[in-house]
Amino acid sequence: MPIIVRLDRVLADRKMSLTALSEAVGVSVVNLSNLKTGKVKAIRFSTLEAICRALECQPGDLLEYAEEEVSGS
Amino acid sequence: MQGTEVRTNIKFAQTVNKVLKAFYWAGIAALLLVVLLGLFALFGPDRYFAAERYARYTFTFELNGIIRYHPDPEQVAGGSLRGLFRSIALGAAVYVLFFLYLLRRLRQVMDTVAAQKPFYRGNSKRIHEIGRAVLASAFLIPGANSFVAWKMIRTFNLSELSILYTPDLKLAFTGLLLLILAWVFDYGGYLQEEMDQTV
Repeated sequence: MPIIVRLDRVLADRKMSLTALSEAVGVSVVNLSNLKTGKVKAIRFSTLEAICRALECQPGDLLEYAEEEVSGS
Repeated sequence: MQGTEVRTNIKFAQTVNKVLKAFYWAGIAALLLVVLLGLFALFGPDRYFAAERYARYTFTFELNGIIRYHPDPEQVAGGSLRGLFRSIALGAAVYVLFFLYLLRRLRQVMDTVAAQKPFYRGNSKRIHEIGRAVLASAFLIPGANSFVAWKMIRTFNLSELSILYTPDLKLAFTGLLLLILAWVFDYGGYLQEEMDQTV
């Protein structure tokens, strides 16, 4: 998927663990881990809002668009 | 949905599952009996099929569950009921195999309901298969009935009776309804999957 989640980078910048973020936003560690590794299809605005509030960042800091390579080119 | 309501539904699904399991094993037992009857009708000694042996019993067969006919065993063509027993075993096998297939698929669906995953993607496929089986049975079951009735007419020389084959429209509509339900379930499963993968 061309949308990349940069949660691990923001977490490292803030020196915050996934468990601490989980407690702060009220989302399970499993779900946050899935989000971090790009295993989810979508993220709710409410979840994004809670993560941005806890990490004091913008949605753009968490999400990145990368052009997908076309196979065979 | 309230927590207690969910628990009640799960308990109900588990009870239904147990009942289906009991019916399934009863069906397996019935299939074994039908196979034994078929083997006996094929290879059993002739004396067990002689019409005189059944002369003191009253033979009955029903037509569409409305008319009960009492043929005279002394009218039996060739004096043997072997062919009739064979056709009854074949007709019963069609019924038992159909119900076993349905029960197996239903049990698989109910397992997912009891596990609180009714919108599991595989369920739409199972309901689709049940629908197809029911639709096919709308033609097969009347066919099996007609075959047994035709064999009885021939065995008992009932020249005044003839066979009328009519597909079961109620079963056909039920099958179509299940196919439509399977498509609806497929979309429900897709939505559930999307929701499960949303954080």
